[in-house]
Amino acid sequence: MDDLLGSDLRTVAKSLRERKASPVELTRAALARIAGQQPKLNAFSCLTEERALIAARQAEQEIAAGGWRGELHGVPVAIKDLCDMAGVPTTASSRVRQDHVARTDAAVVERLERAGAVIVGKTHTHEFAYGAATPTSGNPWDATRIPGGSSGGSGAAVAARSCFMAIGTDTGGSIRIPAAVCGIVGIKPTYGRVSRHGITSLSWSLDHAGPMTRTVGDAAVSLAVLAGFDGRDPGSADVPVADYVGELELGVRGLRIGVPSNWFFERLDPDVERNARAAIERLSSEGADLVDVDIPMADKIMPIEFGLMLPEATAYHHDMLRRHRDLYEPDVRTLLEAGALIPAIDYIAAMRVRLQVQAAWRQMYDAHRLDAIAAPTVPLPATARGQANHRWSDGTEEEVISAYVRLSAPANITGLPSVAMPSGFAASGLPTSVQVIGRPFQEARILRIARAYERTVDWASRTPPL
Amino acid sequence: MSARTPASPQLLEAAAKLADLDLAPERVQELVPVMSGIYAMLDALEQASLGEVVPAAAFNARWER
Repeated sequence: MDDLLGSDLRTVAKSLRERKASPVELTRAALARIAGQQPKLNAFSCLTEERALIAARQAEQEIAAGGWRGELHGVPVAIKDLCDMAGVPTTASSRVRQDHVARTDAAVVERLERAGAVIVGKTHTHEFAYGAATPTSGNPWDATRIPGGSSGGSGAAVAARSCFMAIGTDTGGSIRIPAAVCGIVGIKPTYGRVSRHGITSLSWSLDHAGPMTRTVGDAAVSLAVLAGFDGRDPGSADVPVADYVGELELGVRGLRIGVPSNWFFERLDPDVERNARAAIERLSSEGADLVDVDIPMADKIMPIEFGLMLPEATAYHHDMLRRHRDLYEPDVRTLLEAGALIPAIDYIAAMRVRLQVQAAWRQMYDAHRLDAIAAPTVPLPATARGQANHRWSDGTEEEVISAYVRLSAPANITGLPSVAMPSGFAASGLPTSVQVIGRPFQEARILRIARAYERTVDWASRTPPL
Repeated sequence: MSARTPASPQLLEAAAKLADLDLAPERVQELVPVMSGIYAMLDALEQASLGEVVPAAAFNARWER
């Protein structure tokens, strides 16, 4: 069973379908592994053993009766503790919500359970998703390091092989940052592709939800389950869901991939840069055409990200901040107070400049006939837990949260789909990552590009030394 | 540099009052460097020549409208 826990989702799905493995035994093994890892990693905020075993028994019966629902049927997965599950606490990893029990399921939970997935528990998030560290949890590659955030618990759980997929959310990189520093795959789909109904909001204009997995193929089959229009989410896109799996193995011959000459390759850890350039070169060797591109309006990326996120987050927390201010963690409380001190004119300016950036990116893609852009996901491997600032080799200091957000924010403000995948390891042994950013609703294309790289390396088979 | 950078305690007190946010004096002091950085970052948005660009009030990621 340990072998099965160590494999990827699609491999285990095949075993379950062929009845070579039992969903019940697999779920028990996953829960036991989680219990063993919790003291060190604390990836989970709560476990849903009873609900999981009920789902696992049902899956076993249905599969035995010929009623296989698809590749997530009977597979243990986890949900970020920002997403409602009926009857289960949804705490957003915050003392403010420690007693909050959801009454209904989030859309992502509905879809996963309809697909027969077995939800083993809820994973820690940076408080209310408002950070890039997830301080409650450790990184499976080095528990003294952060698992990234805000979906750090999900990143750690998948990397530690205690579940096969976990839901994350991404407002400024919160799927891709933990995916990057935990050495797994994470996809932030196009804005509106996956319903956010039942997910605690951080910033309505920037929030996305998506899967975090061990492999690109796992991300494809998971996204196929999660994607689709949902009228309950005002930002949901009524766009047909593409076939994310059909194009996966087509390779990159003839595809055009932009390589940024600015922004994405500035202020990088040397190992991150080396591995990113090697990954991009590998895509070229596989037949892709590389195109040098200048990222337009790069100086506006962070002002738009923070100009939208800070006021919107404060608006959401307006009441709670007044009533429970002292229950928030200091870093989150500071950001929430800061958001109240930003004039509306700045917020509206951010919304207007955002459209200019969107148009400029479209022009860049069209002028160069790009299928995607490839770039590092984050500038640093996992930093130490509690570390607030990073010192660069030129002596300058940068706040860790800003460093982690600056390469992921472009896909949030443009709403473009971005998949992060392992690109190797730093000299320290910590994972590094690259991201592929595509055109709107072209998740199938970026997954294809990611897969073309993934199958030339063995990063997905490396496991943390737990 | 703009009229609001670096931020001053008086500026933040006034902003907090306008936002109906109760901030103790020591908290205002703690927020001064934070808001100085944030206001400086947001000042970059004023450099954009916006013309008739409307706000992305309900953001649509699609390129075809």
